Amino acid sequence: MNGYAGKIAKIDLSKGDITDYTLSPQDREKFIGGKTLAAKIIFDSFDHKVEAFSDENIIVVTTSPLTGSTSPCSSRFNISTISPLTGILISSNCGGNFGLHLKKAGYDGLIISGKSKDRVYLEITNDSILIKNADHLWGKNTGEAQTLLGEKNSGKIVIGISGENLVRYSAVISEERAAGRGGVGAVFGYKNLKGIVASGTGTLEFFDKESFKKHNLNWIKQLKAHALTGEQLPRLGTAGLVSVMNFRNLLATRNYASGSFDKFENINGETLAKDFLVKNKGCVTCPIQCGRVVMVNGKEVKGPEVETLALLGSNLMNGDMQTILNANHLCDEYGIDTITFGSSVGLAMELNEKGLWDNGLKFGDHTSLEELVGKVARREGIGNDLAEGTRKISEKYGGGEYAINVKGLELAAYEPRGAQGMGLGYATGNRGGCHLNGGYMVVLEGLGLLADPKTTRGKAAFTIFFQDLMEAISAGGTCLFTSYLVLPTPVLKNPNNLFVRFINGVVPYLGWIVGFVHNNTWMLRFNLKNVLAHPYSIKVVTGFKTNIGTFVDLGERGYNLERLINIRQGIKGSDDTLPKRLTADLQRAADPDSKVKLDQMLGDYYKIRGWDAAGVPTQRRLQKLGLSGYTS
Amino acid sequence: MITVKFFGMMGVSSGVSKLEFNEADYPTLDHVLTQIEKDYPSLSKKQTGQSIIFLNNKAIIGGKRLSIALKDGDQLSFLSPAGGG
Repeated sequence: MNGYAGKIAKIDLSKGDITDYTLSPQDREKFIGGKTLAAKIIFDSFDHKVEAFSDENIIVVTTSPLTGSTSPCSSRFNISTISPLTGILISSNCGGNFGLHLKKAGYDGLIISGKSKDRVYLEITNDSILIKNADHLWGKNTGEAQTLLGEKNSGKIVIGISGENLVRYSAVISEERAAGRGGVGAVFGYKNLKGIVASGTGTLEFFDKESFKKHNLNWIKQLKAHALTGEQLPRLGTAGLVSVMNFRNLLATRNYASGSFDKFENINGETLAKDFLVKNKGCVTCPIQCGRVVMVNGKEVKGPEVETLALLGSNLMNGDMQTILNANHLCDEYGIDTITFGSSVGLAMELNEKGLWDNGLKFGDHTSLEELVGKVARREGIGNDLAEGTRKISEKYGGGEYAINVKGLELAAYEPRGAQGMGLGYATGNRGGCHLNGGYMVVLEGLGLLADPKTTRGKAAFTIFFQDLMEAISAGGTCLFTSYLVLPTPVLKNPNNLFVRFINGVVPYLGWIVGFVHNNTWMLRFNLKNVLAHPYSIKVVTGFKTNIGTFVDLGERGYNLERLINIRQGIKGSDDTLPKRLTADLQRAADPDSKVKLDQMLGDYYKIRGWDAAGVPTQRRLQKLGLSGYTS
Repeated sequence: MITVKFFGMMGVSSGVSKLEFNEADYPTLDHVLTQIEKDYPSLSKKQTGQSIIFLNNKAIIGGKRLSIALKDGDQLSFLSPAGGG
């Protein structure tokens, strides 16, 4: 089967049963893989609301047609489940090597249900799945657990002590990469599942191998020649964004009270590269190599991403890089999402300052940060409250306006009062406050281009387009960084050029065209291999008739399906909102535009999406997307 | 004194992170960029002039940016293009 290993296994941990899940060829082409296929499986598995910590909740691990194909940046896999942090669907995407090995072992995906009586892990080898005792792995952190799982030529995912203790934002770790967001690791822990190890000798078949090879080489060449994927990301990593975020008032600071940090030079990518970087590292098949390797306690470990630098740095008023490196490593070892951890600590500091929670934590005092990671993982002392995330902390202690989450998921490092579209993306993201699932509009509004970040004009249409594009790229199985080719290097490198200034000025006025094209994708029934390489790559790997139009449709289909699951889980239109701090308080007193004007964008967003006033996808839109019969 | 800082790829590639200029000798941005190019040929005036520029944390953009007058205590920051992460 071109592009696919051909099998998806259903593993019932309660009964110990392992059976095959049947996916029709039509549905395979319609949902492709990754988070979109996982959404289809989760939607079909239930007709009612599901509790995250319940035996009926399922974990869906999926790969994609490009996983293992040698497409650039295609080692990714996805884990979806109902999140214990948000109560809605979470899909968490991860690099590392597990996805490749799972496909080699003969599986495109795994559907894990029930709850094991004993502590177990799964061993998958060449079409065989064994449920094995994990007593010797329990209580071990992610590095040691992976070492104990043995052989080199395999892919592993594990949880750490955090997941075992049901910390609501526990990650699943593969090598040092994390399926970090939304607490997928805690669902593993609830099911007494320590991890999965996969190995095999299977190979992938291609629909048109020669065209794939040629396209692949060109894609890699383009990525290496691009200003972001060929220069900035390899040299500075994602940490290279800290400086520009700071200047653009986009850097989460002091629990999102501000968008800039006076000590940002201590924690930016330049300082990381100059004083702390040992070498670059990247996922398998990645020509970008954005990963950082740094020293912690005399050992080479993974360095921080921009999210971690902000959430454990500026957000806590912490200008000490080494403590961030140390805490980041501890989070990886215990299996903790650094974003939610940093945001929870930031909220705790603010509540302490405001006299709402006497916890001893203070902005600017980083001395207890590393100790706090362990306390959270073990749920000790204040760590037990911090382990619940910002929504539950504020429910207990008050200060909901300072709990910086959407639908229960803490926002990423981008302070949205400096970018209106990013604010809308956070508010409407299916995962909650996620920059990527939210469409990552900040790239157009200040990081790459400068399409007037203060205006709301046109932002709804662009947000939708990019939300759906991100969805489709994830479904296809490549890293989202591969999408940067849509931003030409000359445009990025010459922000003061008259033409570029014209583009920046005109972008908001093009919203209606983008919205029209998004809803009339028959106009996009072609491929632009040098701009958006993914659809053509999927086409030559699988034989599907994929083009830009069907690719955008795929993204929209996935986005709507995820929305339907969330509605079933209780989400309403009123949940498409932001913390009051971001919509009511000005970030800068002298700038009346420095708050997110969500009300000016949400109506357009629903309208272009084809959702009713309550935020529910209409039957007409579902029918257009081939989702007739799918209702919440 | 005018302080000039380079961020992103500009700073990393050129190896120059911070410079200082006497405002009396370099009254405008154009003067500063010309001198930088003389001292550090890898930081050409074309490149620095086209970069993202902040004067005292405020973005300066537009055709007349090079003639902006500088004064004692000003901080100029030059950033190379960024993307996402």
